[in-house]
Amino acid sequence: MSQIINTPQVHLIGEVKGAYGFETDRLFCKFNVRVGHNWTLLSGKDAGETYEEIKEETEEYIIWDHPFDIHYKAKTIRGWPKFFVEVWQIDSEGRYSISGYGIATVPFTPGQHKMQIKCWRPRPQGFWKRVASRILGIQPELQFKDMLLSSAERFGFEAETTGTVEIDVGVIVKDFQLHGVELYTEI
Amino acid sequence: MFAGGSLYAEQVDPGYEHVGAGNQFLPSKRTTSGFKGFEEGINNMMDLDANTQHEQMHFQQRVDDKETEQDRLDKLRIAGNHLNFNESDEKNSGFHVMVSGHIESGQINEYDGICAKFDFISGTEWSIIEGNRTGVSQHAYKSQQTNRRVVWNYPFEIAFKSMNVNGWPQIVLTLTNRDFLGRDQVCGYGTVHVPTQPGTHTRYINLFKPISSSLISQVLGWFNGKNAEYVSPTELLARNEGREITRVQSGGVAKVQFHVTMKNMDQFGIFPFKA
Repeated sequence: MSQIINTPQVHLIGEVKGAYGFETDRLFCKFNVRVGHNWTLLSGKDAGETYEEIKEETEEYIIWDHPFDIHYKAKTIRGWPKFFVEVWQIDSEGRYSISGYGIATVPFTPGQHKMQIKCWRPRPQGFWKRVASRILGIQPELQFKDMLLSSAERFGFEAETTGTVEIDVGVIVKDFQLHGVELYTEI
Repeated sequence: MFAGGSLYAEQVDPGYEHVGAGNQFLPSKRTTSGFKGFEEGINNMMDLDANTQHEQMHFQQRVDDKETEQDRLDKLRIAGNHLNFNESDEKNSGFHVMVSGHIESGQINEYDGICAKFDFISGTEWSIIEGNRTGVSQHAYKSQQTNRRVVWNYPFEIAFKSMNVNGWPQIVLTLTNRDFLGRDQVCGYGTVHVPTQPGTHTRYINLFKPISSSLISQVLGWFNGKNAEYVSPTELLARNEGREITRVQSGGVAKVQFHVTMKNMDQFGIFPFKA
């Protein structure tokens, strides 16, 4: 019999819809999908940057609608794709500063899902730094982003909550059942 | 105990899919149950080892054999897709995705008399069996009451055939209207993927307008009746590259209803929904 490739595969098809709850009106988002070592990207782009959206002051929702279509091949379950987003804001002078970091795991169940990623950003430490952040718009950024992806201790790190990013994702899986993996319970 | 290498070793030859110690999805030969199964489990591990060594010894020979089969499979593959299919069944040429629905309405504040044009964008391996890939609706005006809603109820129906899930179809909307001199100008774009789950779905497409890069071109555009518009909107919107250098402002919401059916996906082992 000829060799049949039956490695499990996962497709992620959807849009980075938009965001709400952030305090500024001009935002864009850099997102990428992180997977483990034993996962291979077969096609599609797993990183992207949306356009910069300027919303009306009376609106609540910032819309990006950035599509993605990603195809992975999986050798282990560990390393299931996670969305990692960075939301950046632009002030009236055109300066960029960070408005939130967020991370969320893609759901296992095949089908359509709406992921809501709540974001936070590092809090300026010290009274004068907070004043500077409010008046001058200087926001601290993370220099090493590995801490976001690992579950190592973060004790002592101060972060303030910002808004939420919404992602509509459709998950299509292939051949997990051939290896005895159940991704959902059948009722 | 694991003399041949740990179970999570990461140097796995990518061409060798389902054997080797680094692959967690090795088919188990025996089921172990309970404490009595412990020894069987150990034996299983030893067998795993022995298998690995055996495989490695005959690796070169296997690779040569595999090459010829792989060549044959490669000829049957189209553009690198990784679906397996029954070669005995010659008529099996892909799975089908049928989409029907309508562009129901839109809520656009500043404009009136808006015409919606839709385009279906899909990957290179997707082909259309029947239906129209593009269509233009009527010019719809708002009602006399204070209502921001514009209703088109413009139906579409299209059936795709493909061998590869990549390039899942998307619908791109381009809204145009006529200014006071009767010239057509673009007043919004929007895009959404066709839902990947069969059934009825309602999607709200957020619409946006590109902003001119300078004030002068915006003023001149108002005089000429040409707002800032994209040269090839379907290219820009459906791909996700090149978006970060454009600036846009939001322009309303459009509501689209989809009815999606699929055929033959289970033959490929693809599950788009919780079965």
